[in-house]
Amino acid sequence: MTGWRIGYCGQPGASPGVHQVDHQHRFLPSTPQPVGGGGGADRFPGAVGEDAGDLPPAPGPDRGRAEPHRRLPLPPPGGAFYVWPNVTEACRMVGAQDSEEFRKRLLYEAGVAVMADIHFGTHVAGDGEHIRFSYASSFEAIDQGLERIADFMSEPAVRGRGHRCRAQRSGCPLVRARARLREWRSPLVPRHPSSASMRRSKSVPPTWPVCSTSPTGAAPSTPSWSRALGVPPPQTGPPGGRPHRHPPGG
Amino acid sequence: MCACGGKPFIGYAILSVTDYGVGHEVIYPNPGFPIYGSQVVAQGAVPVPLDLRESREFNFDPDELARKVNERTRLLILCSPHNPTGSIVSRADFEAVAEIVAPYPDLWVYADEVYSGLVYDGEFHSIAAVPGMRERTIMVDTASKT
Repeated sequence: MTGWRIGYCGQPGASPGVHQVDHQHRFLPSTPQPVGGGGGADRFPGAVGEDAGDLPPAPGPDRGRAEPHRRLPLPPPGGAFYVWPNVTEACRMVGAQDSEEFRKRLLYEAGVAVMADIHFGTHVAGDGEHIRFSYASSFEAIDQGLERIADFMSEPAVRGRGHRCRAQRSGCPLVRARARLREWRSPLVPRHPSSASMRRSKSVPPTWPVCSTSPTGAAPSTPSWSRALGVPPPQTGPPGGRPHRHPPGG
Repeated sequence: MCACGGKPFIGYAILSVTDYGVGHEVIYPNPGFPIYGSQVVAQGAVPVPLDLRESREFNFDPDELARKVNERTRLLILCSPHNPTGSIVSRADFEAVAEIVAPYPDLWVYADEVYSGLVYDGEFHSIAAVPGMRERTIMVDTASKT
């Protein structure tokens, strides 16, 4: 993938059909940016030969990683950089209801991002469940992804919701990022959509702690994001340090 | 014509060959690039998915295509090599398509060839190279899928 968002359209002989497309293009302009246009023009003559080397010539050698036990048969693609394996049996083995649940579990339990068939249309009757692998990435990333999938598929008997696979235990970046987002959200985002408006109204008691001390009087711990970024946490207490109230029940 | 990727041309082509809300049909591959179906609906045409069968290495069945084409069909979207399955359409299937669409002069073919530079063991074929198809094919390629 060069990253240049440059596409072109044409037709030999320029018949009325392509003139219609040209007409729409003039009135609904989607004009390439000059930098992108220059980059595309420079790269295009040799782009295929230069960049195809970064991609596996075909995913054949890597298929052995997942295929030995027929857990995840990978059909060899004819072109593009996608593989579209049938995961009907894989879903059954790990207890996933369908390809979408399988996709989510690959993401959150194995740390591998794929697409499910429902993102590309409707299920084809009788063809089962599928996911899409994109291998427009480095060999290292592909190897790591296959290793994680193999690990995910290796313990289906003990796997269930909440099972921690190697990707989680070793600190997969996606899983770490997800945990960090959850941590960051808590002091910044009201847990209830009406909390902020309720706080503004003096007649309505706040529904969550608005002070800088806990209901027990102990000082709250500094969030890890605050320590990491070297900035103080936001002031959640009332302006001027007025006496605070806690919601019923603390 | 040149644009920011091939995606705008999907909408342009549908907009160009169909009229809004009159029942013009667009056939597109299923599974397929999700913009096909969404743009058909956005432009007021009728989406007609054409299933790609695993038994045919994720290609369409020409007989099934023949059953879906009719006087209301205005556009047939074909993608080879294909996203998301990685399949490629054979020359024989393209020739079958040419026979199917020949009786319908208002039917255009949108040849999505953005992955034409990434073909492995097989051989890339363009439907525009089939006799009779050059005049009714809109070809799209990009500089990014390399």
